[in-house]
Amino acid sequence: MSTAKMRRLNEPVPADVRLGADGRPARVAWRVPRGVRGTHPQMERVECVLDTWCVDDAWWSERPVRRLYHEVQLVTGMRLVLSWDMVEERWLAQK
Amino acid sequence: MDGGVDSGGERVVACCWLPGFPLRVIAHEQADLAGPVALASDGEAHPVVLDCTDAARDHGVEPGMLVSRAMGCCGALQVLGCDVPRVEAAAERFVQRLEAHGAAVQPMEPGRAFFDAAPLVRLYGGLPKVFQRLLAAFSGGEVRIGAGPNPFVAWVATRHAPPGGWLRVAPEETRRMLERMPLTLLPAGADLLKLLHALGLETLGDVAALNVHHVADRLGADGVRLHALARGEDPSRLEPRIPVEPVSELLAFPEPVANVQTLESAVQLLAERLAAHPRCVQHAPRAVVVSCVLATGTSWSARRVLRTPTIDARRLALTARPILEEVPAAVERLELLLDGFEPRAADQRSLLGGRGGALAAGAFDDDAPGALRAGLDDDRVQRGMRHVQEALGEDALLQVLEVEPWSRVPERHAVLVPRGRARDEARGVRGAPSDVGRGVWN
Repeated sequence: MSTAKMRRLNEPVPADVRLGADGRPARVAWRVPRGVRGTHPQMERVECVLDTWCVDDAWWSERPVRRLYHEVQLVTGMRLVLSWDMVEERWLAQK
Repeated sequence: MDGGVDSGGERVVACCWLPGFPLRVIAHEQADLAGPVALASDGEAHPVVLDCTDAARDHGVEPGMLVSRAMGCCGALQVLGCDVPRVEAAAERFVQRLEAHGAAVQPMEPGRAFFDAAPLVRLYGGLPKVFQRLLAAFSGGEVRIGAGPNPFVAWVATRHAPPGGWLRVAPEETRRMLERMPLTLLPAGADLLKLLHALGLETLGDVAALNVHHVADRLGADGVRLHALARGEDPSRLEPRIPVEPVSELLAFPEPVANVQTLESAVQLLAERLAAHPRCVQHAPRAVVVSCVLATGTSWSARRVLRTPTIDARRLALTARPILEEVPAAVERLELLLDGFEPRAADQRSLLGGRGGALAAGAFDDDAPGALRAGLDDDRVQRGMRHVQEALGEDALLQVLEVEPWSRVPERHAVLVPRGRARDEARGVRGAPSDVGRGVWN
């Protein structure tokens, strides 16, 4: 099997997440919205948290995955998966 | 053009059809169609039967069957190779005959064409006279014409019109006429027809009686389209072609020329002139005609049909050159004529088959050639993708491949792989799904 030319889809990107009083994501900045000037991501409000789960996988490898995931819906209607990476201690976002 | 009305204010779409057109053209003066004769695909390692006569069918020969097997079914079977340029030239003449009587024609497969009959009503004084006039243009008495409020109904009417006759279905009679018709008239694939039969549906009336929402749930958009056709509703529009006059270039020699090389040079020159003609900007010719005025005072001409329309001067000259060797005497004047112009946009054929809607070429056919054509379309797509990858590299065409759609880690759901290797990769990756998480492939 040739694997050199495979590319991952939907890689997570760093995000700036603000938590609400309940400890769950309330606002997120992860990209520059279309039609908005500037280079810095803008804060978008989280409408609701749809699901939460935890993954602790590949702990035996050099790249362990230990993340707390939140599937959220933004006020714009977009669904997003936010995760707190416990290894690198940063927020990530992906669709 | 489909918005035309006759004197009664109704839309009249007509279909003119000569059954077994390619077989008739090839068998002309070669075989007796009363006997077992089959038309076979040409230039293939394993030729198949494209069409056959009733006498051959009586022996068990069917379109789509391998020729070797057909020969086994019928020892006396006469097999004729399909000469595509000859069939296309005959199909062009078929359409031109309709156009010569004022019809705006949309050609379908060879021997079948749609046209809007409403504008001809005033010209000929009523629909019956229109159809009689058009039928009289074809000798042999086998051509038939059907008419209805839309192309699907017109085609069904044509299938039931008598040889040399016509049948018109009025809008109010459409549902009643279609009710008892078999499902095979629907432009659906063999699998879908099999499924409909398995559901206990036998006629168009059975399909029309279904709830459209149930059809949509079970069969999706294709089912909804077939349901509409079964009820006599076909939203597709006619797209008549625009006839284009031939163009020609002439060269007069100072003295008669018998040297073939000189004639070839002359043809090359004329082809270059013609390729630069303004008409070739948007249209490409399908036929090349070489005409000569001979030193003997007589004229001589020969025609060659191109496999694909082109405006490439080199290809036009290459097509015309073999004709020059047949010229019987020295030439005083040489004329090169391009004919059978088609819109060059036609080169960009639909990826998903046909002209769209129910009028897809061959879509109404329930026989093997239609199915074969669908296979060719698919092959064309595959070939196009291979060309893209050969020209731009394997990475130019990627495909999304699901790897672990069940994973709770979103980036493990799918990967992008070069198209064509996706199937191999799928086997490999699915064989060892945990590799992805371990970063082995990354």
